[in-house]
Amino acid sequence: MKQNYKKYEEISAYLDDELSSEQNERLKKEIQSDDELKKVHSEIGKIKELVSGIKPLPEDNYFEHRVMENLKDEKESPFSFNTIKKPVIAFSLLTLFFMVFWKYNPDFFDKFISEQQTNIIDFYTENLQPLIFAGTLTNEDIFNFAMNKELPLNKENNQLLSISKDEYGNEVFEIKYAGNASGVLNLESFVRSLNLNEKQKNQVDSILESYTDEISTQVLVNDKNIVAVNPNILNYRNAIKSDLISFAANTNSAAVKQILPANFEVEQLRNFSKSIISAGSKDENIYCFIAPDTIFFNKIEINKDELKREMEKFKEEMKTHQKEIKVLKRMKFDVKVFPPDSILKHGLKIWTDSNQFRIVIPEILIPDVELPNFDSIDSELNKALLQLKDLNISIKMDSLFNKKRMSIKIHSDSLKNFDFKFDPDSIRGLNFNFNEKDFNVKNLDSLGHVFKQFFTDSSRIIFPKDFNFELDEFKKEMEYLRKEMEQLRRELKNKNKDNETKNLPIEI
Amino acid sequence: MDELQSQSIFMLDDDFSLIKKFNEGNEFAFKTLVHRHKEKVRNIIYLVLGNTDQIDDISQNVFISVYKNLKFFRFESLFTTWLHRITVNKCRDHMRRVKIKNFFTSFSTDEIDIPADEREHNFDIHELVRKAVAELPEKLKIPLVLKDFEGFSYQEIAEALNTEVGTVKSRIFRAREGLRKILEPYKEELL
Repeated sequence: MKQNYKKYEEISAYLDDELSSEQNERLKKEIQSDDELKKVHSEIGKIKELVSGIKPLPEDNYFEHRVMENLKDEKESPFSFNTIKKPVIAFSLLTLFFMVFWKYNPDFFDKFISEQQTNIIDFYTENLQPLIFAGTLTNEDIFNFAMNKELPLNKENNQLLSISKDEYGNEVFEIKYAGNASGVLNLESFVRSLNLNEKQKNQVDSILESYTDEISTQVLVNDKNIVAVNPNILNYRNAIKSDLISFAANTNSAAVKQILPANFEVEQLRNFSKSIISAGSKDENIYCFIAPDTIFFNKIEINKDELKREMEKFKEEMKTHQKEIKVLKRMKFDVKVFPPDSILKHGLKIWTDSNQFRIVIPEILIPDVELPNFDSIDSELNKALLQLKDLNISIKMDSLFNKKRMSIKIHSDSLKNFDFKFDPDSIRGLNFNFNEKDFNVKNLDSLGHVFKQFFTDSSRIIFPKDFNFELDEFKKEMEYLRKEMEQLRRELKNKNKDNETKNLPIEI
Repeated sequence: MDELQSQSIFMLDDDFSLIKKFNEGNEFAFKTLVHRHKEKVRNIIYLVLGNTDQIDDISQNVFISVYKNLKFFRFESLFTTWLHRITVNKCRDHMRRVKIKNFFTSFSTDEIDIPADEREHNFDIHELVRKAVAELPEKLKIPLVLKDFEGFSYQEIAEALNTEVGTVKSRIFRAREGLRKILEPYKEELL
């Protein structure tokens, strides 16, 4: 067979005239004498003839013109394939690499994004410290927080954490500067109204102190101006309030019964604080992080045993190293931050205006505690507690102004009414009367601050040598101030009207 | 001696003078060169690849490659040998691309499928043979086309394909044998 194959191949070459003359002669004789070779010769010859006879393509007369045109275009085109070949190949290889990489690491980018989110959160949550490390929380602060819903975050800057409710009844955190409610009911008036003796006063202090550590861990701060607030602080506030009312009811039941709503049972408050504390004792807590440029919720874990030890140590050192308090503020505390999870996907409602911002706390994040229908009586309770105060500030300044008497009285039935009366002979007719409506303006705090400084800081009263001349000047100044204030009042009224019509906050 | 040989080749192939003129900056010489060889190139592509609508594009690419590489031509072989090597390479590139494309899409094998009624009434022998040639493996059909259609010698084919003369001889026979088998059903009409 192999021999025949070689022979047939020779016949093929013979037909192509590719053999030497000797081979030609020999093969020619063999073909003539062998019928099979003759048949093969005929068949291969026919095949050759058929292939040679295939019709060629019709001639293309313009082919060379098109070639030349293409060459011309290629020369003129700055983006020929050769110029982009390397980038295209590089990009293709890169794409291929990523395709393969993704195939075997499908979770890579999810992990990467999660890591980056964790890094950002780590950045924001670095060196978080309980509030007490950043500034001392007094019993007065805790009392104000319970009764007036305001907790000082930074006393130097008058920065406050305020808790309120929006028009839909949602709990709202507010970070703002200064506040006008700090004097609604203070610890001093509470003690005075209940006629508490020294021992009872100590009991009140003891109640407030027992919450200091817990409140401190509910609000964390750091040197990046981050404030992390645990929504559970709302329950703590109610717990303190409950304890104080219970205490007041025990101490002076007659007085408290008069001021509390008729259907209110003090007994239901007694066990409230215990359930609050058990709800807040979970190791993992969700905090609302309020940074200058972002707001987010994240879960963090606080080593409470370590915290307790550190707090004790801190308090001891506070007593002995008062001067080194700034060093103590840098104390590092172990706060474990969890990777971001679905908490971040909660929609946040945030309102801002010129000097504060408010965050609605998603209800899901507030630890559920069995409340003694506290919310429904909360407003009535607040009104009742207001009656506890008996605030009548009378500042009398016995001046040496030619034995003339100048008295400044600040009295009110409600602290939101201010009535400043200047009663020296020389300043007759000067009468500032600001009612609550007048003060319902955005910059009330700063205005109040100015007045507070003016009327309480005796160092601002200067006694000139030439009193009559100075008094005339003073009268002119006060007259000018009165006009200014009247103008300001008119403007504020107008603004107030505008605000009433546009009272909707900006929602983000 | 080399110089003499080179001169003899130069005399035999007028293409060389055109190439020299082109290398000296005469674009028209290239146009003449294209005009002279375009049909051979187009028909080789036509027969090797089958009846494809890309014959013109591939032919253009062949001559664009020639244009770009002509300055590297060393005048050691015939221009046609060099030209056909480029043509064959372009055909191979195209077939490779088609193979990759067919790897991802369904492969069509209806090249030689002629309906029965067409066989009886409109029988086109040339088209049938062309389709049969297209059915052959690439390494068999290229030497066959160069031999039977273009009339190249075994030596020229071996040079164009960069292979041995014996291999060319064997492949041409195997191509003819393959064609005979493919065309067996049409033996009465053809042979």
